[in-house]
Amino acid sequence: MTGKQYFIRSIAYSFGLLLVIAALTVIIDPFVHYHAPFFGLAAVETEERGQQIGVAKNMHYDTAIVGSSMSENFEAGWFNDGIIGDKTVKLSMQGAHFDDYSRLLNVVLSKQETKTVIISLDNYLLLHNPKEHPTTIPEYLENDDYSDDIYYLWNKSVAFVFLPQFIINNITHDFSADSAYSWADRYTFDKYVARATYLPYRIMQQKDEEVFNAYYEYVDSFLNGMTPYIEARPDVNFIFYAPPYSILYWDDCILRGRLTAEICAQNEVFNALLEYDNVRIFYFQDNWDIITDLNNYKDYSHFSRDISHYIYECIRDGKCEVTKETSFDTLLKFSEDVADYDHEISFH
Amino acid sequence: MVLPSYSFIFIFLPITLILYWIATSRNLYTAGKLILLISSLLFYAFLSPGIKGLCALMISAAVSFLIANIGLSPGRSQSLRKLFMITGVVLNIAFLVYCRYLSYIEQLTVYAGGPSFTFEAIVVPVGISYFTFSQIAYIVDSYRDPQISYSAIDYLLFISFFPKITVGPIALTSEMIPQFNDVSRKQINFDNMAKGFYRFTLGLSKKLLIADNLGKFVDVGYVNIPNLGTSNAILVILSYTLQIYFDFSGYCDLASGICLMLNLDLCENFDGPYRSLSISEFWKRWHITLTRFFRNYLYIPMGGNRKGKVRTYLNNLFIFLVSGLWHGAATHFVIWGLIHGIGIIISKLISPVSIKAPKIIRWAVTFAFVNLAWVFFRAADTTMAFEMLRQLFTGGFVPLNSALIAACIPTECQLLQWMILKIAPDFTYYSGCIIWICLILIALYFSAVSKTVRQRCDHFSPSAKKVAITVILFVWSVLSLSEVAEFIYVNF
Repeated sequence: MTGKQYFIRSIAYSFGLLLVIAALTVIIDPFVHYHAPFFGLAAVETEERGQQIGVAKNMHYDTAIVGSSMSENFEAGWFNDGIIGDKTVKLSMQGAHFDDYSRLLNVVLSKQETKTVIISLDNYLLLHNPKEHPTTIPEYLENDDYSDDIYYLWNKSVAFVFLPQFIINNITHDFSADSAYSWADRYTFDKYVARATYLPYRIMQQKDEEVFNAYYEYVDSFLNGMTPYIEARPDVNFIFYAPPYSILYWDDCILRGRLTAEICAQNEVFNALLEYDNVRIFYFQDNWDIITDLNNYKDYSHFSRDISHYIYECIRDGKCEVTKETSFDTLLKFSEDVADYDHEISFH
Repeated sequence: MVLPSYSFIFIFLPITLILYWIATSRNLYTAGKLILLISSLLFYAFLSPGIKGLCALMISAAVSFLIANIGLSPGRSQSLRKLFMITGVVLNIAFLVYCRYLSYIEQLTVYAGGPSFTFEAIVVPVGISYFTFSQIAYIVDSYRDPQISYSAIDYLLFISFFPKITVGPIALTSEMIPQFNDVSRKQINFDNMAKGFYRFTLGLSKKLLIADNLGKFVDVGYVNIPNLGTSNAILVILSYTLQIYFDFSGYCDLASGICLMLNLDLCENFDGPYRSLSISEFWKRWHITLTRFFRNYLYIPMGGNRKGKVRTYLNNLFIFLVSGLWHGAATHFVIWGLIHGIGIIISKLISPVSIKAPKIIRWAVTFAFVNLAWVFFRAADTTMAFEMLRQLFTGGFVPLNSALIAACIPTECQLLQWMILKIAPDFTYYSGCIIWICLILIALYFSAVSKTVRQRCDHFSPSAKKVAITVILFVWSVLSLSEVAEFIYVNF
């Protein structure tokens, strides 16, 4: 073989192989970046932050669940009950901050067929500066600019991991699109486990009461980010729910001196959001039967699928809802009850 | 834009090569040079800090060129020429100090009880340490040999030449400029194109497939030093030793590969340094052009080995002190340099005895020494370096850290890990350990046992097998561009 033949063949075969990889990525599209899955495949889980923005863009739905790990154990199908919605997608992201919510809401609310958005209203969203937690959704997946799609088409993680995973998961039916990113089956929900994961942190906790001085700034940032979405789509129902953290979470709050700040932040946010006719808020944090039964938890905040289903049922049936009239009293009573609770009982 | 990027590989490089070869095939040699010059300036302008950096580079090059071509012209008196030479060297060093060392000087001043002064350089051009040394070499060479004279275009092309501007090698004008003007190199040579593409692909693979994967392990390891223990510390230190070699030599292979595709020969920077049997030998094989610069322009003018043994050792120590400082304005780099300086002295002192030791012992001692010295190079400060050494020697042989292993599984092996997790979850940890140890052993084999990339290219003969290897490695590397890490030596 001559040098010229080697050079031309190496270049030609390399480009040929790269084109095949790009074509496979476009056709299979494990991140649903270009289209809803072809060939009867489902949008089964691959990489959460990579895929959810594509699901939001390219799947057809009237109801979207936008949330953190507190929404990951929902089965999207539960919500297709004709009461909440008919076709639901779950757009959860582990550890999602407001910037992640915002990127998803931009896409979800740009669709006219969207009727309902269910949003997990985690406490940490209200007490962190959104600017300090920028989204980690890759830019090339989020924008509509095809020129940077090379990062998706020729991507080691996509080619070596997510593309095969997408196919394998579809073939083995190990994951359905409905339950994508659900982690409930991977963990044990048990009081011993919940305590064991919390105790090392409990020992190390330090006061961070300064959050009380800054909470209103964070709350303002949150509301300034969220309310424009609500105002822009008065035809969409925004259903917020405050997930039921275990009593260990509130023990942690007291030890860190954050209880008042968290309750005050929730009060401000609830009051502001409930001014809108298209907003409903469901509050599960004062459900003492759930939060004091640590067998529902894998750690101090993450609950089992049964609790997720209970949340769905309450939303469907209109239970545990707070209104403009009841929200302040509900939060005040809960904060007093938490403060009065004998937290040592949790460790016996 | 850096060498391992989609834009460089698929747009910049092919366009530059095509335009250059079209121009030279029509005997438009000056146009060919101008194409290379414009490409180089564009490449540099796309690097941080952009146009400001490009202006700084051009001003620096213009000053050095004027001093060498006007100040050091043969018609001037020897004393005036010497004055111009010193001025040129001092101006270059002053610019380097201004850009890279004033903050460190301020730290040292405060440490010594002096006043604090806030300083931030207006611009720090990429590759300043490399092109400054090339310019100093040019000025000194022009002083030594008054006949040396190049055109402004040739000189600017030499300084800004895109394959070497960011990370070297520190080439000499006498090596590159005659090649730019050599008519015999202006005809496309497909044997060199083939060799160049082969070397470019191997360089990409070294950087993206080996160095960057090892780098993940190193980064997490150095963040978690207090939890390492001896066993994890050994793996982390060894991983960095291999990472820095594959990262830096990978870049040099990319640069050499591009030059070969342009029918040019770039000076070599590496010659299998981890095969060395002594520290002296290591420095003949590691960053060869930097060692050459220090030898020719510092060590020999200081008297070299001509003024007795003690002076020779002191000269060695000084050279390595400067070498440490060249790598970074921080005390841990100085300590790294001094460790190597002391290593060289000891190596010379015991050479009559050590030469009789079995090769494997000499290799092991040298390799262990280099590994330990790299701890000071990689650590963010001396405290971190000593903590790493403390872990290494007193941390105890604990099992490999599962969090460290899990966090750093190479992307290529993640599907395998995922499948193992589904089939045999209990084996996940062990498979992670096996993957890591295999990666380190493969890197060790390619750095210390098998042929170097240079040797492979020197004996390159095209074959279907080589095509297959090249295609697999090139495609694999291109896919890895989606998660490329910065070159370590681009910060120096």
